Amino acid sequence: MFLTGCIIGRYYEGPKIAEEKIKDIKPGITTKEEIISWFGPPQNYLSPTIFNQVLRELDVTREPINYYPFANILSYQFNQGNVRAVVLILFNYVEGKVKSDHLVIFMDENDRVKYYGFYKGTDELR
Amino acid sequence: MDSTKERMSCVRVFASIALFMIFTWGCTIGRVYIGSEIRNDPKEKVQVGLTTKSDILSIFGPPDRVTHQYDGDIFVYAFLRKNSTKFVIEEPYITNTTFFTYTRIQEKKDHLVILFDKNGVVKNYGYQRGTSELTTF
Repeated sequence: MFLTGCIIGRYYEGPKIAEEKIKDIKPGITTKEEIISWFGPPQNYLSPTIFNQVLRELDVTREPINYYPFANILSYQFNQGNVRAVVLILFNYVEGKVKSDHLVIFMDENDRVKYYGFYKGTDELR
Repeated sequence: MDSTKERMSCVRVFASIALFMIFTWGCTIGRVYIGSEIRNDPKEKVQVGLTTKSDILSIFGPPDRVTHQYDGDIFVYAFLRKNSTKFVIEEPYITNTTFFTYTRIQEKKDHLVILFDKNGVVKNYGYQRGTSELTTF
């Protein structure tokens, strides 16, 4: 068994989330306009992403990873995928990991933040 | 006489190796991880009738999916893993024949579904840790 090759791939999708602004989000105070000016247009207002389509094509997941079709939920997501493979003559090992930084914000009826959640999943790739 | 026997033995060994090398056999192992592991055990962290939507967001982070229902929302969290193993024996040079193929694909998911009432308090939840059923090969 001789080492014949090594493959490393990186995939990035979506804008990075401005983490320094997350501490400024105050439930009951921060407005939808502020959120949009800090983080840009939320992704749930966009069509399903290329990333989700690729996952569906590859039959990894049948449903989109993140999709909130509701006006009172703002969702921001940055996806990172790492692929690494070791190709030997008799043995191959392929590993793919997809992680996301994800911010979701629920708005109240006055368009102010009701509650929010953030998780930095891409840290798990290090 | 002994040297003839030794020579025959060597020929047999080389012939076996040559025959053996005509066949290609290989093993491929694949691992796919989608999403993040569910960070806490809901049995320890979630109390029906007490835990709020805000608590859930701070405990588990943003859900992967939200469903609105007439009597409250549903949060869905999922962590998907796919393990695949493939073992092939083939003769790719002369007959291009595959003699044996073994493929095993396991797709398992940790799945947490949390149901809220209209006030945003946990009404019920379901949790299944499917990834613990994955085997190495």
